[in-house]
Amino acid sequence: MTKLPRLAASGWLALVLCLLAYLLLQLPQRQWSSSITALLPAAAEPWQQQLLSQVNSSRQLTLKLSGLPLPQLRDAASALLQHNISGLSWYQPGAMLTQLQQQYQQHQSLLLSAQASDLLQQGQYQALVDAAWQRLYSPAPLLSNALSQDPLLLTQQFMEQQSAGTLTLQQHWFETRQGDAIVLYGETAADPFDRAPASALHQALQQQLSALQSQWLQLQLARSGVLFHAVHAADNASFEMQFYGAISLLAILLLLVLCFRSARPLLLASLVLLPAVIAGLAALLLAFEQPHVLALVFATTLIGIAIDYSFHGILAANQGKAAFSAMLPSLALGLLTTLLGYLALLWLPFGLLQQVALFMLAGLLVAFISVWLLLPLLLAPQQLHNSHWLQQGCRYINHGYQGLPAKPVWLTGIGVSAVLLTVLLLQSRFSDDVRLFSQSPASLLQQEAEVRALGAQQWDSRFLVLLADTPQQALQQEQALQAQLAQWQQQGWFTQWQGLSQQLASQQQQALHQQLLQRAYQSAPVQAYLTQLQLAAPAARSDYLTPDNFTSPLLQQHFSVEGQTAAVVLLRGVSDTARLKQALAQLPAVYLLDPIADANSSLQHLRVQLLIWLALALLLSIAVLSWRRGIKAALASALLLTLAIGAALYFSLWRQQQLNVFNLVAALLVLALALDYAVFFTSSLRKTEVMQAVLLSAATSCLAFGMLSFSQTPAVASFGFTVFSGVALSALLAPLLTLLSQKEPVSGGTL
Amino acid sequence: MMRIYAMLLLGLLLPVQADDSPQLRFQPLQGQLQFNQTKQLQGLPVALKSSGYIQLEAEQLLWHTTTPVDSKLQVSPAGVSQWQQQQYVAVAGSEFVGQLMLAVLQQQHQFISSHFVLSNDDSGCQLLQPLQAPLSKLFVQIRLCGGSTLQQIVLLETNGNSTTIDLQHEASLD
Repeated sequence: MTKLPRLAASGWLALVLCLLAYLLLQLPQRQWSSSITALLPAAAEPWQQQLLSQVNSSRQLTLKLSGLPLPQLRDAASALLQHNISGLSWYQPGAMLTQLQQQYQQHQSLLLSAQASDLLQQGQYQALVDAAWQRLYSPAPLLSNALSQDPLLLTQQFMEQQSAGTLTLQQHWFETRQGDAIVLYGETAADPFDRAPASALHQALQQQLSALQSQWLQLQLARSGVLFHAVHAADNASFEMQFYGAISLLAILLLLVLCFRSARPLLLASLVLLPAVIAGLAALLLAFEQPHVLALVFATTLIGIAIDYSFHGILAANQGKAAFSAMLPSLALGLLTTLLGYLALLWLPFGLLQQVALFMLAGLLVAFISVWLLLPLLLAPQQLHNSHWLQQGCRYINHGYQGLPAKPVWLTGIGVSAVLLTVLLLQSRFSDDVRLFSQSPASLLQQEAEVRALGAQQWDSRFLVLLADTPQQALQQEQALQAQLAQWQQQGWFTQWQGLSQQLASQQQQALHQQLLQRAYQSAPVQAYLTQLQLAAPAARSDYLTPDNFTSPLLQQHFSVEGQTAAVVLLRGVSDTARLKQALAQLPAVYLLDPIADANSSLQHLRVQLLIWLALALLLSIAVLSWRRGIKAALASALLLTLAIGAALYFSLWRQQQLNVFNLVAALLVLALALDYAVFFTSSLRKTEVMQAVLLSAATSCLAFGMLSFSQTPAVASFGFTVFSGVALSALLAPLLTLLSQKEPVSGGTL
Repeated sequence: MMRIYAMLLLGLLLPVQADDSPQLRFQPLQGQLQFNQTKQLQGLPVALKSSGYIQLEAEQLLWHTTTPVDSKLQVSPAGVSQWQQQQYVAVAGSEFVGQLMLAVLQQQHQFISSHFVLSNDDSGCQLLQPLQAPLSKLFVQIRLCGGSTLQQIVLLETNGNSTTIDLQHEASLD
């Protein structure tokens, strides 16, 4: 009989060691994601998903240098560019312009401005001739062979009419028109959410910037770009995970030493906690290619829940085998109800919650098995000195609770629950904002705003997409939309737009330009102009400029998605999304994509789902309790759960002014933890030990979750606070269940 | 004592050595100037002649061609803007030309020395050779001639075009 448990325990430890070996092999190879978008539910349409995965403006970064006279700013910018930073390339605006001019020079007369095209179509040739004369007499240089290939200088003027922007272009950077700042644009080779390379790059850049600031003391720097925010978020999440995890672990260890005055419970608790964490991590790595660091922040709470099992196990094993066997069904029932809560999370289409749920499911299951198999073997009856004052205290508290009259407690509980639910229904406001996921420091946000205020190349997260069968059709459609875009811009729906068609006309359009020009060359005003210049009219050309032989950063705005071409039109300063959407609804194959609004809408959908799941999990738990403990105990437990969850949500509403999806996730966890307490307080176990275990467990859980409420990430803080208040209240109210419920009949070691 | 003399001598020599490279020698221009411009364009058998006046201010200049067409350009370090339909419209990519025109007329040593190599030719004119792109892509050489004041600017473009601008000060016209 004694061999089998030993064999089972040895087998169990061997399995844990195998999981540990898997972890040690996998962890160095795996990357942890810190991307916010990676956590969100996928966009509705497959082509949109594919496009969003390709549209990647997150690799761009902008630096603004100011605070010095322009010559010194130029010296500082030159010094920065001289130092090569691996994985970071700086844009060369001057070189880009030269390249663009060379391409236009080789294809003169093919590309015309919309205004020139209109004049040609309307036959208003004199206006074109007057503009050509004006340009000819300007001291500014002309494109090579301009007169022989394009005597009306229309491509020259098309090039010069392109948006000059608000910044002055230089060879290696941009300058403000006032000359008080220099703006540098760069692009990172690595994804800024890929932590290791992004951190290395960020560190190298910071070193260069610090060196600049020590050389030019008055130099002011403003940074903009996802890299800065992503590295901060990743560092912050990593720090919080380690800091809060370590603090809660220390607090738990301290509690154990205070209660038992021995190092043995530490060892025993570690034998429950460590396998739980190992199994949680292993499950996460097995199921997810790139787990999210935020999942680990949430999952540090495994320590808080698993220690609950340790306390029940240690206290029961210390009383002897019979007490341990009597405790085990309640622990199993607690595990079952908790697992049901986390299973609910696993079914939600939300990456982060699925990862948290899987980590906790595996961790808690392993914690239970460790308690079951290891503790009776490693702890002989009465081997531990249980703190006398704690036992006395628990006995005293328990006595106090039992002295209360049951009926008024029932009535008060029902009354308070009704009030809480009514207030929540009437007053609760929800915020479904994806920005809850991360919070950048104020200084970084200020720098971001400073760079944006320059009107630099900062585009809105919303953009237009035109779907077409071929790249040429996409260009034609974009060109056809240009007049509408100009009109919407004039109406103030947005301040600026950018698309490839601004630099490159479709082949069809270029052919039309040639026809129109040939007709113009035969007209009297143009003939007179040509005669005066002693020039011959050039022949029509067909060496069109196409996306295949054209080089420009704007080409990156055309994508191939599911066999189609998606032309992206970037927008800046969008102020009237509703009217824009309404206008676009009239146009075929033109869409407004708004990833942040879509993510917010997904969060709203998720919130509704969570509310339903919360109600379902509550009903399911009550059904399980009713089966094991009887209807009265189940109803009393339902009252406890309603009070604890209702009050936790009310306190969160009061603290945050608005509730969010993470308060609801927390409510689901409160449900799981409070159910554990309910299971033990409605059992026939000795209430002093139950009280002691629940008090210790609640204290550790409150520490673990309470610490999270200090997190800088609003999502984590919301989660932590709701769980903290819910657990504290549950622990406070759970002893009343003994008073309100029927006792569990003493049974064996089964459910 | 010898050391002091040596140091004094060295001190006298140093500015001479530092001043060895050619300096811009024209007086910065201000106010209104008349100009006559002649453009020789590749593939064009006739030269394009125009005239007008330049109004120079601290940070910008107005280039007003009056003959044979009426055309106004506003030139500043930010670029060139053309007068079209009752407003100045920025000419994209003209920033370098704008800076260059202002720097030459106002004899801005810092801009010129950081973008050009200076030398003198046999006729006493100063030659400016662009150091780097994009100016080196536009101009082969810029020639500045005159006495104490700048009287002629010749822009030699890389595409074979050239522009000669003769300047006359308002005072010298009287």
